[in-house]
Amino acid sequence: MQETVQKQSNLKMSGIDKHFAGVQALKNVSLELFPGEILALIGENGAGKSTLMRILMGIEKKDAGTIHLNGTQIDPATPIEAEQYGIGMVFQEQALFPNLSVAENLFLGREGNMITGNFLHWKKMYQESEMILNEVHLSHIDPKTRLEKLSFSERQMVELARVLYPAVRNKRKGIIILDEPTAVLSPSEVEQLFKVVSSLKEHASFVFISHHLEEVIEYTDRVEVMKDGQNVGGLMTKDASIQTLQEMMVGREFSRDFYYAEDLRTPEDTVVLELDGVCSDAVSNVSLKLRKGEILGIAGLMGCGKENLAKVIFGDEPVTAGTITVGSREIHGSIKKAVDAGIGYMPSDRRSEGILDTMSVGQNITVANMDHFVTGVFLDRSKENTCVNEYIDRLKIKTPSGNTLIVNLSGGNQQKAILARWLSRKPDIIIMEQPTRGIDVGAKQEIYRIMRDLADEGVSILVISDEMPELIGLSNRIIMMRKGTVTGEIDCNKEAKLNEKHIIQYIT
Amino acid sequence: MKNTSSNTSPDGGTDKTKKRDIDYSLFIAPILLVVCVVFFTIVNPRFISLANIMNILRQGGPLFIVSFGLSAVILTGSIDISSDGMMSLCGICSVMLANVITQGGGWLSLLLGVGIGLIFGTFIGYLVAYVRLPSFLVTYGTSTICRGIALIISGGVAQNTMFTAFKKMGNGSVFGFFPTMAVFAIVIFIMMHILTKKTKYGRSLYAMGANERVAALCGLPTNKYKMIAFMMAGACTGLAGVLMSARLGAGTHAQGEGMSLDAIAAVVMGGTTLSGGRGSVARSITGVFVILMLNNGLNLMGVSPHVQVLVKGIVVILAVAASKDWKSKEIVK
Repeated sequence: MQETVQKQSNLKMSGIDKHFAGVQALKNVSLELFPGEILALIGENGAGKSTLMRILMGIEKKDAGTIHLNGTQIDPATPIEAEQYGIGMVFQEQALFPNLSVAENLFLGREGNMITGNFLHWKKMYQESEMILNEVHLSHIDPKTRLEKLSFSERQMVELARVLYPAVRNKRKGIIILDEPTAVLSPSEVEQLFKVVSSLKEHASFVFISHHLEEVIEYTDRVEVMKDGQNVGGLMTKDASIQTLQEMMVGREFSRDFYYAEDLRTPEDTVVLELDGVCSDAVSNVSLKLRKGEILGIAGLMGCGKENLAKVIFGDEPVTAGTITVGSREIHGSIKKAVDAGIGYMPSDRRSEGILDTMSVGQNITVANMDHFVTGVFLDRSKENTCVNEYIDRLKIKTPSGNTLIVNLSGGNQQKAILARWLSRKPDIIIMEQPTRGIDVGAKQEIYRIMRDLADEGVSILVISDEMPELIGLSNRIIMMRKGTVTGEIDCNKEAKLNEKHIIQYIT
Repeated sequence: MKNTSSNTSPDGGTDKTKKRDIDYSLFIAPILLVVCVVFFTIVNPRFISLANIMNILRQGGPLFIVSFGLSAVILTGSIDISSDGMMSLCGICSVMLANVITQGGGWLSLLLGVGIGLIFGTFIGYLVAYVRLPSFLVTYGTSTICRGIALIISGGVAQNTMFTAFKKMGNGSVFGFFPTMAVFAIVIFIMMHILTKKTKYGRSLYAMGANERVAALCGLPTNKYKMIAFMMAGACTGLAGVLMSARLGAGTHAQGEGMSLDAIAAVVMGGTTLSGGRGSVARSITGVFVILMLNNGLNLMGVSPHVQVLVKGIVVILAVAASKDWKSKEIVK
C-alpha cells in the first residue's frame, strides 16, 4: 500500500470482516507488515485495532478475509497455533504468573524439548532463560527469581522475551504485537522498551498499538490508522506529525492547541487545601496550597510518590508528620474525614478502585452520597433517581438508563459516572488520578471540558497524570515530584510557552 | 418466587430498555421447587395437604431464619458457617434457663438465646472486620467453641424441658393452624428484606460485596458494617437455636448439625453469589423451600434417612450447577 516499500511483506491480512452480535467490528480491513519494521496501529477506542490483532492471534474468528504469512495462507484458530507461526502478543494487562519464577513464566505451557515424560529439565530451562533474557537486555535477572520481585517494566520485558523465544530459538522471523505496552510506563521505561525492541528487529517485526502519538512518532517506522472498523490509511512515520495522525484518527480537524492553558480562568486567592510538611511512607516533606477554582497538576514519573500523595490527602494512607488542612479544619488518617471535608477522589485504577461492577450506573453514582437520599431511615428512590438522571444529562453519560449495570458502559462513560459520584456531593476539592487513562480521544476532550467547567464553578482540582500535555493544557500550576519530594513548581499562566521539556528536567 | 427481572442490581429495579439480558439462572430454584412439588405430590398426594405444608414450615423455621441472616453476610462476600455449634449452645442455654425460671420463661429464654448468638456474632464480626481474619475459619472455629461450651455445660446430656410456654414458641400455632415458627420466620424475613433493600446500610452491603475497596473509598464505614452483618447473622442463629429447642422440647449438643451448609446451599441455590454483591434475602426463600421439600418428600416416600443424605447432596450440587451463570467467565475456586 506504500509506494516507498519495495520489499516483500511477510504478513498480509486482507479483506478481514468481523461481526459481533450484529455490530460490524471490522469491515474489509487489510494490514501488511514488512520484515524488521515497527508498525504503529492507531485509532480511537473501538476502532477495531484489538479485534484485528485478536484475529491474527487466533483468539477471535474472522468472518471473511485472508491472512498470508510469507506467501502461505494461514488461519490460526488458537493462540497456540498462532505461536507456531511465530506470532505472539504482549498484552496490555500482563498475562504472567507472579507466583512463579521468571524461567517458569517463560516456558509455561511450552516446555517442549525441556521435558521428558512429566519431568522438567531445569538446568536447560535456566540456560535458555538466560539466553532469551539477554536478548531483551535483562541479563542481570536470575531466571530463578520469582516474577513478583520484578518491576512492572521488567515483567513486561519478560513477557516480551516469552513471546520472542520461539522466533529466536527457531531462527526465523517472528511477528510480535505490543498492545499498549507503554500505557503505564514512565518515559525512561518507554525509551528502554523501544531500545530493546529496535535491537530485536533482526528477529521479528512488531505491531505497536498505542494511544501515545508522541511515542508513535518517535519510535516507529510506519503508521496504520483505523477508525470505526475500517482502514483510514497508512503513512511512513517520517512523513507523519501528531496533528495529521490525530486528524486521521478522529476524522475531523483537530486543533493541537485544544487543551491550551489560556482557556483557564484565574483562581481565587482563597486557599482550600493546604499541606504543610506532610510525610508518609512514600512522600516526604510535601507542602502545597490549592486555591479555590484552581487546577493544580502534579507531574512525576512512576514511583515518584504522586499517587501516594493523593491517597495521603484522601486519608487512605497514613500521615507520619505534617498537617493537611481543608478550609480551617485539619484532616488526616481517615477517608471519612476527607469525604466529609468536601474532598472527592477518582482513582487511576477504575476497575479495582472505581466502579462497583455488580451495581447499576445509578447506584454507582449515589453510593458516596447516600445520606443525602435518606428520608427517615429509608433510601428515597425517587429522590435518588432525580439526582442520577440529572448527572447523566449533565455529564452526557451514554447509558440506556440509570438502571443499566455499569460494566455495560464504555471506559469513558464509567469514568464520567465515577466523576458524577463525587460531583453529586457538591465537593470543594476533587483529586483526579490519571483522569483520561484508557479512554478514547472524544471522551478525553469531554472530561477536559467538564474539569474546566468545574474550575469555573469554583471547584478546586488536583490532577495527577502521566500525560504531560494533559497537565500543561489543564493546569494553572504544575508541581513536579521526584522520589517522594516536590522538586519544583511551574506557573502555567506566566510561562505561556511551557512544554514538556520544562517539566522533565525536574522529574528525572 | 420473585426477582425474575433482568436486572441483578440490588434494588431489583427493572431495566426499561430494549437490551434485556435476562439471567435465566434465577429461574432454576423456582423450577426445581415446582418439580419437587409435582413429583412428591404424584408419589404421595398427602405431600400437598395443608397439614403437611404447615409441618414443613414448622420444621423449616430455623433453616429459614438462619438463611436470612446468612444472606446478609454472603452479600458482602464473606461466609458464616458458625450456625452448627452456635445453634446448639443457644438452644441448650435457653432450655436450661427455661427450666430454672417458672413463669413467663418463654420470652426470657428466647432473649437469652438471641443474646448469646449476638455476642458470638459480634466476636466473629470483630475478628473478621477489624483483626482481618478469614471469615471461613473464624466462623468454623466459633462453631466449634460453641459446641464445646454446649458439651461442657450440658455434660453431653440432652437438656429436656416440660415448660409449655417455652415449647409453644416452637410447636404452637396461630389461628389454630399457622405455625408460630413460620410467624417468626416471616418477621425476620420482613426485617432483613427491608434492611437490605431500603436502607443505606443494605445498599452498603451490596457495595461492599461488589468491591469492598471501592466502598471504603466512598467513605463508607465498611468495617463497622461488616461487623454488624455478622452480628445479625449471629442473632438469627441464636433465635433459630432457641426455636429448634422449643419445637423439640430439648436442647442437645448435636442440634444444628449441618445447618450452616444447608443454609449456604439454600442461599446459593436461590441465586445469591458467594462472591458477594449479587442476590437478595428474598431469593433465599426458594432455596430453603427446595431443601425443606426434599427432606419432607423423601420422608413421606419412606426413603431411608441414610439414602436421603445422599440424595440431598446430589440435588444441592445439581442445583448449584444449574443456577450458575454459565455465560460469566468468573473464576470459581
